[in-house]
Amino acid sequence: MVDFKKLYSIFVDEAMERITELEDGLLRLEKSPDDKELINTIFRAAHTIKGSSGSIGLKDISKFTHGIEEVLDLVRQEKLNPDKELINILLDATDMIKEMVRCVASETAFDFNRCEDLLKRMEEIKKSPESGAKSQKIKTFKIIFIPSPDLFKRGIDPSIIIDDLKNIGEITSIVANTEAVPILSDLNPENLYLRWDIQLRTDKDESEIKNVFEFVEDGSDIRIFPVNTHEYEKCMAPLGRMLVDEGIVKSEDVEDALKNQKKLGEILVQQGKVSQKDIENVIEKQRGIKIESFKNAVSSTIRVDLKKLDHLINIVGEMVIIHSMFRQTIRSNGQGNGGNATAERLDVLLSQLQRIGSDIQESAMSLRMLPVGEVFQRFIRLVRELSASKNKNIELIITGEETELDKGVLEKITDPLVHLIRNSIDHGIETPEERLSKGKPANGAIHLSAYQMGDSVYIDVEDDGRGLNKEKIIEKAISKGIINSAQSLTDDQIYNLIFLPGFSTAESVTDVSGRGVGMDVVKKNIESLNGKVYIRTGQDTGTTISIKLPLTLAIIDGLTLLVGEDVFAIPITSVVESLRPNRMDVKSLNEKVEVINVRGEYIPLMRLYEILGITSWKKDPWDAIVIVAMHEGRKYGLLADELLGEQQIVIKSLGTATPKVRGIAGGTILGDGRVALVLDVPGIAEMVKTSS
Amino acid sequence: MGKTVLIVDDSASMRQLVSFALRDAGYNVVDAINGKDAMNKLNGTKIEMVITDLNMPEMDGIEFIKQVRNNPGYKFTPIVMLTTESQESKKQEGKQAGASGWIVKPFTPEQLIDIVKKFVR
Repeated sequence: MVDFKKLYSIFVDEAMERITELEDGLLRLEKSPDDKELINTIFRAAHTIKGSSGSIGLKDISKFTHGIEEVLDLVRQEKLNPDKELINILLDATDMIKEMVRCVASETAFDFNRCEDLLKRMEEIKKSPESGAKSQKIKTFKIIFIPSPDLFKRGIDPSIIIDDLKNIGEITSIVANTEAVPILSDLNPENLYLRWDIQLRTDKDESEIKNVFEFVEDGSDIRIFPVNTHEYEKCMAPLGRMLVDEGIVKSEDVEDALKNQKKLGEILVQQGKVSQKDIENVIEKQRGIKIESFKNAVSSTIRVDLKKLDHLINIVGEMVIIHSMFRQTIRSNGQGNGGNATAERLDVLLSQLQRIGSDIQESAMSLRMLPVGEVFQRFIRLVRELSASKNKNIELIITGEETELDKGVLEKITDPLVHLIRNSIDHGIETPEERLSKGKPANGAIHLSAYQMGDSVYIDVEDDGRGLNKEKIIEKAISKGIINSAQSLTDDQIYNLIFLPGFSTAESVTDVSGRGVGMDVVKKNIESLNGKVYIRTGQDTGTTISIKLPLTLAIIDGLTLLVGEDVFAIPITSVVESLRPNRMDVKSLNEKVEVINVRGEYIPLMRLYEILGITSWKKDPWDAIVIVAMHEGRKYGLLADELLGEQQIVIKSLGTATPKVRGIAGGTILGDGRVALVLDVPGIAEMVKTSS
Repeated sequence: MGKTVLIVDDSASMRQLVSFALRDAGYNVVDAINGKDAMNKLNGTKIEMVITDLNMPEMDGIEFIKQVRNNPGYKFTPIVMLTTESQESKKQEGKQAGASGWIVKPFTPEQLIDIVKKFVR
């Protein structure tokens, strides 16, 4: 069955975005009616709404938007002029679509009769005998250019404007008006008192003429009128200009007055056309703040901090410039520059490109980073409901919400966190009576915190409950046949028993803790993220489960090493040290197991060439190199031929075509283009266990 | 003799790129890594035009433009800011401070030279 609810919600999101585009575009069109790109954008927005509403059976919206689209099409073909009246109708129509989309969102019915009036107005305007197609004929414009008096002080020579105008057309007449030059005693030689009246013949339109004035328009008064049309007189009319011309007010004053004009939204509210709430909604939408974003925690789309995006755009911009520099350098090769100079320059460009490449990589990766708060917020509700169902009063305290984590990691960490929190509520925190009898406050607390330390992010789930019960864990582990006796186990190892498959301390199966498919899955999930889990607990003081996660999944610092002729990489986080053992420190325990003595500590030695089935020339550890890797608190020595160096590597999966190879986590492409396999330390550790 | 243009940007690649383009077009180029550095360079050299980034450490572009305008020797020197599409408000600030024009990143060397030619004769 088609999930209409989901379809609708996708549609609503998209439509609201398009509506904002539509609204924004129409308002801009009013100011620059000749902007073809803008008309196309508006048309596309309407077209998209029509298409997507039609495809999911929202016929009313589709039909109504079709009407808008038809009007816009005529504007696009220049058969209709986007004058104030037309923009007004289209804005009203946009509001109507918004209304309809909102009805879809709230699942309420919409009365299509409300659209009739607008549809009629749109029909009428389509018939209006507006000007025919505009042509690209050569036109004459009259340009009055009253430069800002401080132009010189801004380092601008006004004659550049006149030169630029010559570039886009023919200046048929130009008069420098000196009326405004004051008498000598009042004259400030640094000010510009001239104004120019120019006639320009050109096939370009008004907006292109305006572009010429781009740098000088601030503080200047620039008027451009097409000559020989009635618009000339019309343009002369505005009150502000007349007043300025008559010398009654200054142009700045008029501008100030215009700035004080009410905003469209305020006027619409006053006229009762929209409510303040509607406007706030739209503005909120514009700012991209969606309150729902917390609810559907992690989705397939990602909300990115604007600063990060700006930074990325900035660097990409630099890259585009480098690209054109490359092109230019290669083109100008041999034109007097000389081969050497070109090579030198290419070299510089190349190193810049390399730097930018890594900047982009870093910046792009940071786009994937999300604040953990997006997930944490969800738990408030969870804790509230679960604690109520267990008749416990538990408060969730959240800190470090702004800590960022890779989106992929965040997605995978959500379920384990839910489980840990459930455990705390179910087993950790006592009932209010029990707590009171222990002299603790009746209300329990779970502290969910995230923080970054070095290359890792830690998420701690801390409760102030009864703590883990060592005896109970041992008893359970023995009864489940997980261990025989706890004699040789340290406290830490005992606590870690709860992570083993088949272990569950819950005495009864509850809604909250489930059926003991808990902690082992939690641990597995976290380890699949290259993360680690730690337990700290104390009798009646509570338990803290601390999760350590890498900042990102995709990029790690790796140590590259050579085995035979092949290059391998190993995540540097699992490397403790590398050494070349003395001949006497290498001992064989039996045929399979070898150990090396590292400053009194014996650690198992794994010969990588053996594990990986490669021919190597350095079979003796004292000729080769041993990399000491750590996994779950235990050290392993890995024998390699040579240590190559350290570099950032992007781990790629080997794909489904390759069977899962033990000891290999994936592949990566090195800086020189070679492919290297990435060693999987947990996998290799597993192999040691099975062989011993 | 060619005219001298000062490029101020904390990004080495931007400085390099602008320098390449300008030198190819026959200008002399002096570069500076931030506003403070640029002020020092201005005091020792005759500069016909300034191109400056806006976001820089030590002294940012806006403050730098203000200081240039306060220097009697450079009151009328054209100053072009390097901006990005997203920096509309910064651009306004720059204009207020006395910038003559701006060029939006990314730009091609041709666009850069067009703008420079506009201001430096």
